[in-house]
Amino acid sequence: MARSKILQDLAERIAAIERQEHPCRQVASVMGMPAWGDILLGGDLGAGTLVELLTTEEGTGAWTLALFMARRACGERKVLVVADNEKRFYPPAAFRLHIDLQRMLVIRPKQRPQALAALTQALRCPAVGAVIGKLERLSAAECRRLQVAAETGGGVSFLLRSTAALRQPSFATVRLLLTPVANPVASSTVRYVQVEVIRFRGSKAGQSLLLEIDDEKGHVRVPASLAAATSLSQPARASG
Amino acid sequence: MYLPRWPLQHLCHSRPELRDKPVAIIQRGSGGAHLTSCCARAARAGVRAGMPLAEALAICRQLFLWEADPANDRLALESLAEWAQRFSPIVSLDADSLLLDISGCASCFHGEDNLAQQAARELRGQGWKARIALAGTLGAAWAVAHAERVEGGGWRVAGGEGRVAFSPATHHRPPATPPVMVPSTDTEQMLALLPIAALRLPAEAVQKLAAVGIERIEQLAALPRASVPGRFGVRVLERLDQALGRLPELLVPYQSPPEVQAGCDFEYATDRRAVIDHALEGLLERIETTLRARNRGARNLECCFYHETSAPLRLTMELFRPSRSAQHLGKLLRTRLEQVQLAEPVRRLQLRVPAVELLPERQLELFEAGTSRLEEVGDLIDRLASQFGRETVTFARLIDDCQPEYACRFDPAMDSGRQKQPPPVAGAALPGRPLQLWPVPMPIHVLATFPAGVPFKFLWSSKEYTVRQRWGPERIATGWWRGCDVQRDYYIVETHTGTRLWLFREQGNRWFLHGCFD
Repeated sequence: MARSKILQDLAERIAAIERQEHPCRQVASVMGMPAWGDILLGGDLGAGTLVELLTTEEGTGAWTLALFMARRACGERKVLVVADNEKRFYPPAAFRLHIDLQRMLVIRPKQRPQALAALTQALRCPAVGAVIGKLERLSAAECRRLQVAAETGGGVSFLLRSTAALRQPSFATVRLLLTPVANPVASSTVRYVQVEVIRFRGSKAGQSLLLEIDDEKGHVRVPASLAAATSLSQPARASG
Repeated sequence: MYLPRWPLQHLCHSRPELRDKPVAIIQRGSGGAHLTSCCARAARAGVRAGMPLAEALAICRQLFLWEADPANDRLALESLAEWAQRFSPIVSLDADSLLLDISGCASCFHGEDNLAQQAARELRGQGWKARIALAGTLGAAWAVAHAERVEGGGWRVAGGEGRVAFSPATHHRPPATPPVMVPSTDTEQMLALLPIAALRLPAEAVQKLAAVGIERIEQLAALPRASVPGRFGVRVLERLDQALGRLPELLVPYQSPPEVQAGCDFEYATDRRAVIDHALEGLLERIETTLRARNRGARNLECCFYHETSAPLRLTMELFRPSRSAQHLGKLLRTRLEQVQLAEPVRRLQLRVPAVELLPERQLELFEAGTSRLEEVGDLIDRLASQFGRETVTFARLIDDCQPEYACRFDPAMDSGRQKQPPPVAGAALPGRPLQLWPVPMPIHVLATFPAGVPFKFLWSSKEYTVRQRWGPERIATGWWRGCDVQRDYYIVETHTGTRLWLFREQGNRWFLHGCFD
């Protein structure tokens, strides 16, 4: 075997060992919000995680949340891959969410199976930090293949699906149900979404969090009033 | 053909967005980084070639810096040399010039003047700035092409330090500089007033001559010939005699390397995949060896399958980044092979590399580095494009257009690997847009409206929506140059379920759904 091949294999093995020992090391706070710690054990997603975002209809905020988390998963160097089989993904809005378009590959396949195959290949690439795709029907085998690919490459996979997927088996590590919440204040740029944890390893199902999406500033955060209430309660816990 | 400030010109040619910026090329050494050249804009700000980098940045903060890349500059000059072979079969390269021996070629262009004019025109058309001189000797042509007038009526040789700096063409076609024709009988007269540096003398010899007051060629020619070699070196007299035609000068012609290719014939025509794969592996290893010897990587690869009777099958592949890895190229070829059906058993296999690029060796590193990540992304793009098609794997580019469906373009990722793309339009300037935009707006059926005419209840995709809040209008009227101008009033509406949709009303009071804020 050529020496260069041996060295390449060795480098890949070292990288794989490092990923196994510190699954969260390469994914710097994907959620980015301390409040997630209340509902998700450890408050964070590890590399190689498969996340399903389930919605009842379009326009809920699933894409925004997926892009927000994917941006954090990719950090400063890794690439984001988006599968746009419906040809509806609109990058100018993604740019407003501070997505670096020069580090975002958009796959526009002609058929749905190509989207799945592209995402699986992309997940295996160590240079890819996250992938996002809308895949309505996903068999258990396909889901498992995605999960294995994510574990191989160390990226995070975000799958956008409808609530019909709740009736199907899933290998996703995290399942979140998103429900839009009517905005009590008339603001064209701020909207709210309720995120409920359907499944997360080690966490209780049914816990939820309200998120505020600011389309103008490109922010996703816990609403200020909720964040203030959380910070007030923390010193009491600390002193106890 | 003298190409002033070649590295800077090459940079601005491949990155047109730099033409209006102050640009400098730097070289890092043991004593720190210093500037090797700068453009006229930077020079006006006070920057000079030879200046330390820190000093240059202190003078001009907006200075765009580029690391000197002599290998790539040479490659670009070689590709120009290949173009120049249409004027003469004997083309040689200098650091910043192309040297052509056009003896016997002028008749093909109806005279030397026409040849020079055509060369100048074509160079200009390609966006290059060049000074062309024709003379009886190579030395005289070089001297005249490199000479520039300075204030006070004197001459200087371009490329040295001084007030005159390179000004990249701000338009696609640079201003015309007519070629200079030096008749053979006037060579001595033409060279007389030029500085001695125009004879391509070693710097040490120029300094020694300047120290004794010899600054012009006529002064050098007036010196006793016997004393010159001993005092200033043998090269001085040699160059003078070559320029004046007393001594012949050898021109080493540039020869473009032969195309990289490898082929093999099968003893018997075969359609067995194992045999074909094994043969391909061997051919790819030969290609890799050839490319490694030349420090090059393949940009395109063509694989031809020849049959006994059917027309040959050609598979072409494009790569995001140049590569010579037999393993990587083999994977891509096998992916393409899986998508085709061989009409007949294969008699001969041929691999060709039509386009190559510089790909120097680099030391392998055990731990992650930025360069290796770029290679991984490049490999991924190659695999995806090979499997799903070139147009499927894209980078999004923002376009400065008001009409939402034209404000973004999806460019094949393969093209990005070749060009330096301009940065996207500043995000702050973009109005809020939905993440989901239908390529073609979908008509909705309005059931009830608010007093202002905005839908209160509407049907879309067999579902009824009630609007709880609405914001707008945002008027977009544009596109008359596209043949069908649009005039739309956009509204953001929040439905009773909390979802946000983007509707617009067109002329004629028809309503459409264009996107949703997902």
